[in-house]
Amino acid sequence: MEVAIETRQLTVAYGAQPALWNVDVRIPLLKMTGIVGPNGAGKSTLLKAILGTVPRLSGEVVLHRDAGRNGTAVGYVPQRNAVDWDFPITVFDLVTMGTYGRLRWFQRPGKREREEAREALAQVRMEEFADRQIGELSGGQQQRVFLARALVQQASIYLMDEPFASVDAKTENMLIDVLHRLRDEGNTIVLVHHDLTTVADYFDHVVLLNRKLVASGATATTFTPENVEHAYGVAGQHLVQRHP
Amino acid sequence: MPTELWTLAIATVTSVTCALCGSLLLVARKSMVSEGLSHAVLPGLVLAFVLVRDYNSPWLILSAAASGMVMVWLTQLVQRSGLVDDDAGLGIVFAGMFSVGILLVTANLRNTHFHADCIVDGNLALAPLDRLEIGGTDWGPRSWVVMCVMLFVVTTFVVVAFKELRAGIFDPTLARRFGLRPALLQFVWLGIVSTTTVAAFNVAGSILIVALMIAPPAAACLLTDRLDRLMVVASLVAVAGSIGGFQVAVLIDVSPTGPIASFAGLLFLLVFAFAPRRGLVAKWWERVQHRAEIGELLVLEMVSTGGREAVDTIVAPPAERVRTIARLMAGGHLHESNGELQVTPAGEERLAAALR
Repeated sequence: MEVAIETRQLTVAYGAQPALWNVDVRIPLLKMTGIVGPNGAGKSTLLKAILGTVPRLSGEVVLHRDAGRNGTAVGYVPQRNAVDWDFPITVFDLVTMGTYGRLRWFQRPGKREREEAREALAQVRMEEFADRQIGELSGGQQQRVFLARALVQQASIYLMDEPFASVDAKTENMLIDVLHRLRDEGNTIVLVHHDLTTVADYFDHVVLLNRKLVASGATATTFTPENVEHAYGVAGQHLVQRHP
Repeated sequence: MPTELWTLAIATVTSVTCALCGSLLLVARKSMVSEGLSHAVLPGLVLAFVLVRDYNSPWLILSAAASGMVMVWLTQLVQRSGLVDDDAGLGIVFAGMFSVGILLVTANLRNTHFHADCIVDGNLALAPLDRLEIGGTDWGPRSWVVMCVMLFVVTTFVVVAFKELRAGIFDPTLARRFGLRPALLQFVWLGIVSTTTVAAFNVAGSILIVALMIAPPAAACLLTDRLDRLMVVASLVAVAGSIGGFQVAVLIDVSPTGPIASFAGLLFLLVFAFAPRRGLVAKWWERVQHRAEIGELLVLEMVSTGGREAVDTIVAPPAERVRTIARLMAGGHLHESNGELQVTPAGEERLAAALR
């Protein structure tokens, strides 16, 4: 198994509260991985640690050699509450921002960059919203726009924090299609996910987390009632097989 | 050029420069930093004056701008402690620094240029009389030259680094990953804002600076939803505010500082009330229309399921129900036959479309 992201002895704490405790996890390349665990299990913190936006108390995060060197390799969709939705920026300009990593300092996006932004918007079916201010979008549309930005960035690793939270079923299906297609085109996808009933359908690989690593591996062998029970501390059978 | 026109020119350049700086502060949600800066530059200004004893020394501007940056830094320290709210952190620091400045003035500089009126109001009316002469050439009023330089610096910076500024303010995480150095950039632009504050201090005083930095961008924010346009609109509002305020000042024969600040505020209030889409009136009109629309749909629903009696279950004043029915009949969505109300095919279609 080739590894896209590896953490070694990774520890992050908020004050005296451990968020991630001595986590060794290997996220495979070119697969779709779900990070699953109860509230407060450190799922978002793991993404932030991979992005380097929270201070580590111990350990390290190693990216695949192709991705480690440049800043554009990792595309991420921020958590909704981390975005200033009143900021005066249109959908189109937000997506174009994904090209900034390829441009030199003070260089403006040109015709090619705008073309790429338009294509990415078409991929997530948001072309007609290009001129809207980002605050005028629904939750699902906002997720799609940020995904389009990651597409424009030509990232090879995509990190998303609960992209399906408060999104309707139609949008969730659409997003999952786009993400599966991205994976099939040779990218690595990592999602923080909290709906256990869809884990088996969506993910090739699962990381079960409850501050410490509970289990990590192929979904079929790892996403078992025993492991889920271990992570959530309640009867796993019920959680996993609610909707068989 | 007559003195009054110089006053107007100085006021206009100052307000446009302040509006551009304020736009960045506004979108970064740091508007109150302008309030802080306009006070916190005082100790630096006074200290430098005590040392060099020359009003026109560039050291005054540099030292005061540095003083502003010290405030920004101290504020971040206080905020990072997590012991007080972000606003409170700013308030503690700038009020403290301002009081140190006042203390220095009253202890050392009792009979000089630095007195309370000047600090609050500035000296716009007298600014044209202080000329800048280099090598025997008259370059115009000193404040005019200084503010033109600042306007040039700010405009150039904003135009050249627009991409980096917008990314750094909106999404620092992404900007950092792309190597756009958002922290460094913020330090630079806050430095420029601080310097602008100092340069404008002599002209505008601490109160007008805040008005000029906040009111035009706040108005522009209601009129557009793109950062580049916001800056252009804010500059236009600033120009209008200066001209309008200046006219008022001439009319009632007072120092122009107050009227310009008031006029900027008035323009904001006008925009706040009448801005298309986001103004109070537009919002109110939108609510009225939505209420009428949903009322009409509900009447259609009630008539189609329960006839005229069912309409009476709608919670609305009887007169409003009657008006709604009249509108629907005029629009061909309802018709009356033998004293009974009926939904027309067009009405059925509209009802179905609304719930699709």
